[in-house]
This record gives sequence, C-alpha cells and structure tokens, in this order.
Amino acid sequence: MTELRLAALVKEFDDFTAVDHIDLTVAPGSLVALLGPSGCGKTTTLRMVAGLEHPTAGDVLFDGESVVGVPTERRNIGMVFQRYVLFPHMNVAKNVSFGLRMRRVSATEIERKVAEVLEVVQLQDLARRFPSQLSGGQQQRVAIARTVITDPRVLLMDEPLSNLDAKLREEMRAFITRLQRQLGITTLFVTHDQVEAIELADRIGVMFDGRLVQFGTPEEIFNRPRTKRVADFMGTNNLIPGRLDVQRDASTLVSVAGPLQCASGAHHVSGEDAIATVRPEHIDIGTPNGPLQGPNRFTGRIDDAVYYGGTLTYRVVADGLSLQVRDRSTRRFAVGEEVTVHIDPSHLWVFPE
Amino acid sequence: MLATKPTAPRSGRSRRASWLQRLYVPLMLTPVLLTIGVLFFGALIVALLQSFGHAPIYGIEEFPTLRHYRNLFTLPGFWSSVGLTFYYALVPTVVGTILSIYLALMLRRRFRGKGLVQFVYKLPLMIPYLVGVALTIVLFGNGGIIARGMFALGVIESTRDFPRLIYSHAGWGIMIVYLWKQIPFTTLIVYSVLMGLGRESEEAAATLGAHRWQTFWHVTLPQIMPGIVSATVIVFAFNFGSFEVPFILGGGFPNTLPVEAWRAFEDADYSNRLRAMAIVMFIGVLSGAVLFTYLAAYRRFERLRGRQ
Repeated sequence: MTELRLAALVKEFDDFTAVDHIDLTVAPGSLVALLGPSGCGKTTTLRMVAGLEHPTAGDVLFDGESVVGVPTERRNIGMVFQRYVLFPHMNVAKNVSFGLRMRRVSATEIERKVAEVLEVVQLQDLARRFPSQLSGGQQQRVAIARTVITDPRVLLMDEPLSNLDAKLREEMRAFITRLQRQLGITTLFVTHDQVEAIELADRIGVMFDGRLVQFGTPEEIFNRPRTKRVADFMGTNNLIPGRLDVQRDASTLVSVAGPLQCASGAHHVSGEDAIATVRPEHIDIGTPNGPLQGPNRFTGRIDDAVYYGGTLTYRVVADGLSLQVRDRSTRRFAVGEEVTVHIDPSHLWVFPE
Repeated sequence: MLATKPTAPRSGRSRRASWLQRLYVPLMLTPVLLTIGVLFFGALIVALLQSFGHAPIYGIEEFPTLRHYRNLFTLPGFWSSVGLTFYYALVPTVVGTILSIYLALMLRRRFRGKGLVQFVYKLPLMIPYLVGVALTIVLFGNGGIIARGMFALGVIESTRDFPRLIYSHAGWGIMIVYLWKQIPFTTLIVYSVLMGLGRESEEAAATLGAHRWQTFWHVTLPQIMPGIVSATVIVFAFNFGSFEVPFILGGGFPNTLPVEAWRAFEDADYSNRLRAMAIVMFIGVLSGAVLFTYLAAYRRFERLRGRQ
C-alpha cells in the first residue's frame, strides 16, 4: 500500500492560481475526499497527482518519492473520470483488459484477471457488450474495473457519482466503499457533495479558491467547522454570531440573545468576533418551566415544524435567534407554542468569524 | 362486437391535403434532382451510348458494339496509363493522409504562433489547383528557383543537372501539387474530428499505462478512422479523375486516363470521340469499383471489431 503526499502543491494557469500551496497526506489504504464547490481546484489537484497537469511548484510523492518527473503512464495510478471515458470502440472485456494489454501481460493471465475483476463488479454477463449498450451505473462499474485491474498504487476518482441518479448513486457509493476496503487501495476522491464525502471518506479535505481550508475526519468537519464557509458548505444551520469573552476556565459568546457559555478552546481570543454553531439534534427542547436546567436556556416560540424520517424538526425563534431543533421524542409541539430550548456548552462549537 | 375506429367522412379538401403532404418532400427535392438528373445522369447516358457506338451527331451508328472498348484495351500505352493513374492517385492519398494526421495531432498542442499556423495551413484550400501547378513549375522546374539557387551555390554544375521533378512519369511535380492542396483538406477534417473527440480518452489511456504510441494506435486512430476514411475517399476520387495537373506536369505519352480521354476527344478525327467516351466510362467504373471495395472493406473491419 502506498502513501500519497502532496507538498506545497501549486498550479497556476496564466494569471490564475488554481491550486494554492496544498499540503495533504493520504495514509496507505485510506480514502481521502477533496470536497469543495466547482472551480475550487480539486480536480486540478487530482490531475497533478495523475500527471495530467504539471505543477507550477511543490511536489507529489508516492511513499516519499517524488513522481513529478514521471509521466502519467509510468506512475501506476488508476483514474476514474466523471464521464467514465470508456473506449467506445472496445467491448467491456477489451476496455477492462486495456491496462494489462498495454503492459503486454500474457493472454491467459489477462483472461483470468478480466474474469476475476468482472465478477467483482458483477458484469460477467456483459463482457461482449459495447459501452453504448450499457446503463450509466454499468459504465461506471466498467470504468472502475478497468482501473483496479492493474493494481494501481493510487486510485483517483473525479466526481465518479455525479452523473448517476439518486438511487444508483447510493448503490455505487456502497459499492465503492466495499471495493476500496476490500482492495485497500490508497484513494483520493474528488466531490462537491458533502454527503458523499462524509459517507465515503476516512478523511475529508475542504477546498475553497485553491486552498485547503480544513482537513480532518468527517465528524470533525461536520461538527467542528473551522470557518463560516466550511460550516455553510457542510450544511450547518444554527450559526450564532457574537463576541468572545474568554475567562480562565470558560468562554462566553455574547450574542444578540445574551451570553452563551461554551467549552473553552485554546484558539479563543477575548474580544474577537466569533460564530457558535450547534447541531439541531444537540439542542434540547421542552415546555417552559420544565425540567431543563443549566446555562444557555432560552424561551421562544415554535415558528415551523417539519416531520421527516421519524424526527420532527422545529424552527424556534428565541430572543432574536432562529434555531433549528431536531427532536426524536414522541411529544409534539404545535406551531406558535411557547417552548424552552437548552444548549449544553459542550455541544457549542465556536470559531472565529 | 368489434370496436371500429370512428372514421370522419373525408372532405375533398383533406384528401387534397394528404396528397400534397405525401408529395411535399419529393416536390421540394425536384430542383436538385432535376439538376443531378440532367447534368449527371443525362450526360452519363449519352457518354455510355456513344461508347457503345451510338453517335448520330458524328454520323456513326453501330450500336451496340464493344469495338471501342476492345480497341482501347489493346491500344499501346493504355495499361501504362491505367497504372500511372493509380500511381498518381494512390501515393499522394496515402502520403498526404499520414502527414495530415501528424499535422492535425501537432495542431492540438499549445505553441507560440499557433493562430498563424492555423491560418496559413488552410490557404491552399482557397487557391485553385492551377496556381499550385504554376508555383510548382516556378519552384521545382529545371529553370526554377531551387535549381537556380543550387546552381548559384555550386551544388550542381548546370541547372540541367537538377533532377527532373516535373514533366516526368515519376510524377513528383503532380504529387507535390496534390499534396499542397490536399494536406490542408485532410488536416482540416482530421483536426475537427480530433477536436470533437477531446483529450479525455487519451488521458484515460495514459492513466491505464499506455505510452504515446500505444495511445495513438489503440485509442486515437480507431476513433478518428471514420473521418480519415471520408477524407481519403474524396481525395482519391479527385486525384483519380484529375485532368489539368497531370496534363501540364505529366511526362507526355502515356499520361493518366483523363488526359488520354481528353486527347482522344480533341483528335481531328471525330470517330475517336467514341474512344474518349469509352475511357470516360472506364474511369468511372474503375474509380467507383475501387472506392466501393474500400468502403466495403472498412465497414467489414468495423463490424469485425464489433461496432454497429
């Protein structure tokens, strides 16, 4: 298994910096997702790993060895393209065996491996079909089979699921996870879909404007975004702006709704503008004068209620804040009803504005 | 009871409308069909009849006879003429196609002055063949610029020592003119096919371990093949029937079939015009047969490869 490392990687096109000093390590056998909006430089980064773009500065290393001078065909990588890019003039078996044929592997060995890989992707019966005779999901599986058959050191995937419909996308997501675990290939995956990244990746790198803004586990990125942009992109609601007041053992965010106690953080600076965020499911909700105790209690009114998948999501307006609250209990609050909400300080994540 | 579709009573107007509808496309095509019919098939039928001995305008009526064809096939130099026609048509087609593919591939790259190159290479397409012929004489003739230059530099002792590139059966001059005109044409076609294809499948091939030559051979060439086949068909058909270039730059008798047809037609003896028509028919059948075989072979190849 290979470790992939990007070191201060830069790519400039004329007067535009597509990738701006990216440092990133993909541990051997793990899957890292580069997540960001279109045009953030994630695909360019992937193409530099593949050798399809030459970096302006910085380095790409496989197991500590630079591959920047190595042409694509000798990097021993596999790449799955957004539009699959199967060879239209070859049938499935020929497409899948392409990498082996180019390496002049013996015919019997090719036959054995093709059969093996086609079984893994469950396309044994379609070996003689041509790409134009396959569905999108089947084409995608051929594209994956074609890349993994050569045992690549690094697998690169460029938005491989974006051309599939919702149901198929879910199936393929599960399929890719299973395959990646099974084969243990070091994988770099590019996507603009945060759900996809969270489900697939061991680590996520969030990119904006050519920069890697945050790198961490899906849970970290989801629950502890480092900037407002990351929080927005991850679909975080409940952003509460305010000013930090840092004491020795606790921080307080002075918001429009009054002071909010939060767990202290080493990066908190007194007097700085900051944003606190809390997941909707981490806010407790109850009747006024109910059992809810402790700091960070507000009284408000139910503004909206939406039932989805076994839980009720309320919008609660309290003291100038609009909070999304998810309640898994069986009790029901009516729109307009007065409620008390409570946020445990340990569930509040504060980052500078 | 069987359900029957209700049929509205047909009015005279709707019947006329459907009659018009059915004839609409043929009617719209009439002008072009007439043009093709009269100019092409009309002339072809007259030529065919004349080649079989029906030519009352010259006072000849021996229809049907194969005499003019038999004479043709036994005429001295006729088969050399057939050979020359194939030679001048085939060599530039093959050489030009290879050079055009190379040029088209190069034009995809980014380089300084690309815009200028892309403009200049297409210029011969807009200039008549005869200008190309004149340029070839000025450049490559024994009294031409290159011969004079070599003489001035002392490379050759006299301009007569310059190799005969024009007015010879080797046909260098003829083929230079064809290449001058046809490389831009084939390049244009191949280049646009390449542009439509994009780089992705070549990039995919590289990520799968194919080096440049393998990528070209296994991925690029098969995908641009339809464009290449169309271009070669057009170029070959033109070269095969071309008249003015071998007429001016050729090596005298025997010359290509079109030139021989012209000579027979221009002969003071009108009866030779029947032979000219026999040559014309022969050119048509031969060229048609070659291209038909070529296309059939290509289709068979594509089918064997499994493409529909």
